[in-house]
Amino acid sequence: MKRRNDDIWQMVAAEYVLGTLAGPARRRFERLREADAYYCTMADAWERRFGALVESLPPEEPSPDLWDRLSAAIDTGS
Amino acid sequence: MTVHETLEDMIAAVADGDRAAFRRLYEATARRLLPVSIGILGRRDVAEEALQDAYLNVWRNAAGFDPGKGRALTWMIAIVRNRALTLRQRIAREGNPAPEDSLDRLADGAPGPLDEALRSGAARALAGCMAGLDEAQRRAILMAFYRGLSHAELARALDVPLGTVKSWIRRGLARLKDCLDHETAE
Repeated sequence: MKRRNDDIWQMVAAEYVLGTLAGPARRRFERLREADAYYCTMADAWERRFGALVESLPPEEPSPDLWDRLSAAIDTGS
Repeated sequence: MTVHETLEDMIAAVADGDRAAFRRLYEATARRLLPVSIGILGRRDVAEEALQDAYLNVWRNAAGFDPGKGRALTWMIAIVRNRALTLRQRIAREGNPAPEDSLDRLADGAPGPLDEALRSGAARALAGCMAGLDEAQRRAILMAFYRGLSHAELARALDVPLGTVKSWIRRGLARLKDCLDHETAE
């Protein structure tokens, strides 16, 4: 279901996912995304498209103690 | 544990508070997600902080993951990038400039000789469409994605006016979308 200004919103959603949408505009889009499936579907689609870029990053082993820190953070509920 | 436990299965178990499943999820994904965070934050210690934050978020919000809407890894990548971008903006606001980017190591999303066969169809489609962009558009989009740079930071790094960067990104994204829509329609 396309809406008026669909192309413009597509670009806003893309820049939101890319990260170049910043400040109040970013927060505004975040709220729209949570409230309205129209924006949510757009943002999801861009996350899917860009998610593929992560596949070309070489894996990086986290510090061995990161799991322990994470586990402790869950225990303290912080 | 089932023989072929998917990430989606693990998240479903995590939503029920299953700590062992959470550990398996961490083991299966952390080394793929840490480079996302390092790319944006530059420093490994800060990147691990953001990663820890992201996993806490996953632990708390696993019930909010909707397998009908997409892959678990896509969902987790978005969480990690969001945490890393937020932390990066906070560090910048507090007056600690982000570390200088070593852009030489920037992955370009183009098919490498070795991993071509291992890539998912989505990654191949994206790499193909990225290759069709103008060099300047592609570079700006990849720097924004991998490094989390703002329009202003991109303009400085690439030494061009702000308006130029904005139009590279906007046109590049529009072409990317056209190309990907075309690919999936076939």
